[in-house]
Amino acid sequence: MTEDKRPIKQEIIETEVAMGTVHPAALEPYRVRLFVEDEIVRDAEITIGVNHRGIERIMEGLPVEKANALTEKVCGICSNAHIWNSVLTAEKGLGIDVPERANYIRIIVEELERLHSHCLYLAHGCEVLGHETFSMRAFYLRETVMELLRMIGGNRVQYGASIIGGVRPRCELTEMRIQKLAEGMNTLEKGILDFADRFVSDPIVMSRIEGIGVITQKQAKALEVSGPTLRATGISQDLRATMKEYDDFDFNIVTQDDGDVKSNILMRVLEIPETINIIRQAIKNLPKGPIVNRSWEMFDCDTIKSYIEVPRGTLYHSYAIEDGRVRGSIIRTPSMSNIGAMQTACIGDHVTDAQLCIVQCDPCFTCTDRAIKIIKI
Amino acid sequence: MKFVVRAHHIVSLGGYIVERNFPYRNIILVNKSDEPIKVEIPVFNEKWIDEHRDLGLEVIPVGEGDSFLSLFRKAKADLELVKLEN
Repeated sequence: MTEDKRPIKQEIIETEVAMGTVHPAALEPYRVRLFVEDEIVRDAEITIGVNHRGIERIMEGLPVEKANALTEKVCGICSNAHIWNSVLTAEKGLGIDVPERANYIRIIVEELERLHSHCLYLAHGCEVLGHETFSMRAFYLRETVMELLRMIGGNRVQYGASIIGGVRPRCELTEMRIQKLAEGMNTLEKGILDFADRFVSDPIVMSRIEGIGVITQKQAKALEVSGPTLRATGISQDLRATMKEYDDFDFNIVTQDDGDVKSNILMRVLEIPETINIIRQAIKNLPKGPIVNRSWEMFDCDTIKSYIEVPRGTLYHSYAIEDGRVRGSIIRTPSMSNIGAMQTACIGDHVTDAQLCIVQCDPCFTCTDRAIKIIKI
Repeated sequence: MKFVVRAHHIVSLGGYIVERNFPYRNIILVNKSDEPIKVEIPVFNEKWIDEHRDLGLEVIPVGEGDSFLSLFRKAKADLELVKLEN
């Protein structure tokens, strides 16, 4: 028998797993390249830029009110956040005072939006996790909020609540609406606490999400991550604490320690009762008086910038006003900063967890992907 | 994360800038080549400009006082000339 003198060599072949641009596991168009070695992700690359919508380009030269209404179309989940911030930008530049009642209604709508966004996140997360029952339960909870939003704004997605100087008259909160809001908050609170209880006590779910997709504080700071994804790493940073609109409200900034999938999910779950608390305060102390200030004048302004805290992080709107029209509009959605963290989160984990690592950062690629492509000026 | 600038295309990167340590308001990117070029986003610092010029892109930073539209129109007209030549 001849001896085999070939050297024993374990070859590790680097494999590329490509997902997208359109893929059943991803709800939006983006391309993920995972460089896998022994089923462990060694490097990841996410590419966007296939979904040019050019909203800033369409806004160029539009009257400010129309441009504000257009910003609502940036996102189908946090639509109110965009119109609110766009209106705040104009109000900041023109020095317009907003009636207190209008400010409270704006906050109620925004916080309802946070609730439905967080419920959607939980539903999506559980679906990627492979737990359809939890996913459907989260969607069922979200339905309560969607109905309340429809009651206030008339629609389930585009509410059009904020206008320059206040809110639209159809969004006025009558006694009956306030009563329904209070009942809705009770239902949601009970539902979310029950959901959290069952979620945390499920050992299979917890073993699947613990220690997966870790983003450290250092990485989060370097990538300028914002919102719940940042707070899940233990950094207590919430723009609402610095916004004058929230001065009258008491709330805690929720944080988690580990920066993994578990922390990100619990972060949103625990933020829901805090948000319910803010809505309850707003209903209880809702000031009387007008809901819109129409005594303001339009004049030219240099570039105005406005930052607010939306369900997914920090939202930035900026434009100048020239002859009552918008110039040089820029919108930066929170996912812009957060999707940098997704690549990092994938690295070092098993290839089957990659999608979960991406989803834990609550991505919204469609509203992020708005680079201008001009065919004809 | 990457963003694709297709061949003979012009895009503005306003919404892709994390402007905390960045002196410009916007960036106009022109790809005059025949190949799509991938750029790294978000944009965090000024170093990004030189790195992406090296890739063959024309990078036009837009400052606070600059007119975005005039710069864009000018860049667009230059790009049209390149396209005609090809």
